Amino acid sequence: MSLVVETLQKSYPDFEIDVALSVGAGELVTLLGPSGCGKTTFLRLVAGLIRPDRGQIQLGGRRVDQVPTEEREIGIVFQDYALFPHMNVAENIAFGPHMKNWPRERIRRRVKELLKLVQLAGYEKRKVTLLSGGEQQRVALARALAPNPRLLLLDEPLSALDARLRKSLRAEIRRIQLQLGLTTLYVTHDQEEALALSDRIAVMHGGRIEQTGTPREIYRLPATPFVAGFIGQSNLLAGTLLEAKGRNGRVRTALGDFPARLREGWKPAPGEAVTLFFRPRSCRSDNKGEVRISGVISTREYLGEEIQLRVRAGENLFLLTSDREDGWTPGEALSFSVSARDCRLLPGHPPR
Amino acid sequence: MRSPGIWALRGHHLLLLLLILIFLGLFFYYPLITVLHGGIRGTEQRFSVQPLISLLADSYYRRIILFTFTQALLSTVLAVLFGLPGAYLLARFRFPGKRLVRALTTIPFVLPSILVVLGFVLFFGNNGILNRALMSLLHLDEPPLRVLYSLKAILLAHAFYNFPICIRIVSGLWSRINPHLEEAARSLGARGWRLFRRVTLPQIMPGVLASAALIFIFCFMSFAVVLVLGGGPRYATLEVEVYRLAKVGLDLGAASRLAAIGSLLTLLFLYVYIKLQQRASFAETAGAGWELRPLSALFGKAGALAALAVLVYLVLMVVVVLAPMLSVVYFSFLRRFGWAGQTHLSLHWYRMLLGGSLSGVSYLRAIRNSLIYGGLTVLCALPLGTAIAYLTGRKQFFGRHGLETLAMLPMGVSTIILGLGYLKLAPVFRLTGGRAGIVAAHTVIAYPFVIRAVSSMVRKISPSLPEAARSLGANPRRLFFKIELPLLKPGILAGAAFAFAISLGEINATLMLYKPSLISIPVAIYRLISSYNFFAACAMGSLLMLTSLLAFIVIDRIGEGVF
Repeated sequence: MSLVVETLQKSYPDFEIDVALSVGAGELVTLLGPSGCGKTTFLRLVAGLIRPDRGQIQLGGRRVDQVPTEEREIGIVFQDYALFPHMNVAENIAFGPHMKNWPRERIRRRVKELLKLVQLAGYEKRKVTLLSGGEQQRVALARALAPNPRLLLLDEPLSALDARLRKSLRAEIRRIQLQLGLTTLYVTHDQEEALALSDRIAVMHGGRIEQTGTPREIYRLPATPFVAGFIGQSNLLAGTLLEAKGRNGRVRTALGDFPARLREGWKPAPGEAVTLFFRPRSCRSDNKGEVRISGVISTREYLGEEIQLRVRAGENLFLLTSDREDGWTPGEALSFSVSARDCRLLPGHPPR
Repeated sequence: MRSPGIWALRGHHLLLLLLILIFLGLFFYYPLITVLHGGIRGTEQRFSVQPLISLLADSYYRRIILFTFTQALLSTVLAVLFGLPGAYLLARFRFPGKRLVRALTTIPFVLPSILVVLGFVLFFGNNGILNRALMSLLHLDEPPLRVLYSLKAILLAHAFYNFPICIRIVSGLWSRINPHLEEAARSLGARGWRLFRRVTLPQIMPGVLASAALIFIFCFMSFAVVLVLGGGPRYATLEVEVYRLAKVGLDLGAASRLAAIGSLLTLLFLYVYIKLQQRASFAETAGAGWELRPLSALFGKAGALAALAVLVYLVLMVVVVLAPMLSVVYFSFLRRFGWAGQTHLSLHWYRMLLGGSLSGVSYLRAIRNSLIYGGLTVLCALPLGTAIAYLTGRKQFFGRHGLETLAMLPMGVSTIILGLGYLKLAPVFRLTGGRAGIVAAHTVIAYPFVIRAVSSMVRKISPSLPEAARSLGANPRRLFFKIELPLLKPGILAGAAFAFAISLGEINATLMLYKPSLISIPVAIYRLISSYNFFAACAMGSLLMLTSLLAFIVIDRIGEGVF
């Protein structure tokens, strides 16, 4: 069942949300962004818990934006799980089917089936308040799935769990979602989580979607300085475009003029504000790259797999990684280079 | 970012709101305004503050107002001073019997004032248990403590009756403040008195002030304690004087003028209390709780003296609260033959409850009336209080805060004045003269407590619970009955217990509306005390205590932390 959201708008005194997004049948799309970017509000709009000012929501080709939440057939997993404290595990899971007036025997079978799916077989009579965080999360997922929803919404479902559990549960959520072929919208502020389990990611910022794409596209080819800065580690340097020929451009920065690649189809005019972007991994300690920068090592961090350096050059601080463990003393001068094909130009200046 | 849009009131909620407003208007605001109006109406039936001014010019009334204020202030200071150590012990230590001590802090809200009066007379009276014990212990011929029928008696009774409020509010806040703050201060070198004054005190101060304001209001509006223990016009407060003017002097005009002044003052105090309470509830709360230390940790450094002080304090606290109550029970089983004869154990007074009447008081009628009042009060106050708590807590709508204020205002108006309002309306409103009037008054007095009990549950419900239920297909009706109502149940039960206990112990408004056929248990006790029939009063009192105790247990068991 596909979800199509057309220019959905909602205004608050200090905030405005304006989004369009489509999720294909069986697809898992993640809304990724910092807190306050409007991703949870967007989820609540889709769920019908908030009414939009304008726009359309279609589910399976049918408009649902006038349909009340209780008739939308949407499963929601809440950040705090929202398990009913006065019901046991089985009663929680049976709540949705019960509301649909399924026959008793069918509900019983369904509860059993779901508990098996989330690997909590035999937990029927447990009190939900006595379950661990991970178990509560599984019950919440089972409850949302029980009445066969047409769309599954997950609102930061793992944020209350510890790191280890988060990783194993996200894999399990993905397994179940794929197994059921369920159209899913997943909200998170954790970029690693988004990269790991999504078919596509929609990066949100200030109430708008900045970029939508596969995890690989989002990471490799960020469309804006915000996306480049939010996903993974990055170096951003403000500049002005000197010239652009096809996919090759030149940028003037405070540290000199450098060549860099442009996004396909983007034709900026010379003089436009742009940002030079490259990943720490792309930096080389020789001077074979076209983009050459000299500075002073300000910090050195040993991270086990690699060494991470911060290099100050003028007003800018660059992040570099290296496999070489010795050397790199803070205070030392350091020159590094990046090849032009690893450098990308992005529209506008980096967010402060 | 929650939008009020979808929660805006729909049809049946609007109807509910309308019913609430009609009830409050009819049974609280109309009588109150009638009293105020009567107070500021000149002889030419025109509005004028002249009558109020001439009342204030009268030194007799000025003295009453001043006395009311002074006794409330002194009582408050005593109650807070007596309560603070308890708040500290309760917030920071664990010790055997802590549950009992904590439970005792509900007492001021549940224990009928007439029982406090009765217990006080029996225990602290000139011929009371304490004096007799001291006389036989110290071989004295005269009772050493003479507190009855004086300002001392009023202050002591108020302090003993109200200090648990201070313990309750302050210890609640104290245990919620972030322990890291004190740890940080200690790491920066603060300790002892300076640590307390610079770091701890500023944080518990909102609680101290809020509890002081509440105690002050209670003492300012206190009626039965002053009426009986004051023992005469010398120690009349506003409330007592309004009662005398209305019921003895039959001067409703003067009563209204005095009542108007009293109401304006108490509403002002209520405003102060609400402001202070908001500050107390905004105080920082921490995820990490205090690690409760055993009491012995306190003795470690200061040694035996501290141990003794704590022990004396705890014993005194329990004695002061429980001994008067136990005296009531003890005396109810006593019977004396002749004026100076020996007393001996007897069930005489309980047998009397089943039949006879004494000093013109019919026991059985009083019990029956009280049960009817209590039952009907629960039936009225419960839906009213629950509806208000539900609407103000779960719904976002225009005027929500206004409704909250309108609904909490009765807490700031004395029940004597409410009774006076009903009395003045009796000719208009046939209803307010009889039983229905008493039930209406009790409902108005009790429902704010229902609101408090239910609101505490409403606040505990995470907003995502109803949203989850709706996403699973629950329509508003099923959402209410399957999710919201079951989650509110503990609060509703506690509210019912409150309402019943309050109705059963209520004496002020009942006395204002009193007719022999309308007698209730507290009024019967009052009349028996007035005719010096203490043993019979005690039998009646024990019965009242038993019902209060049941309510108290219900509140204690389910009032808090069910989930």
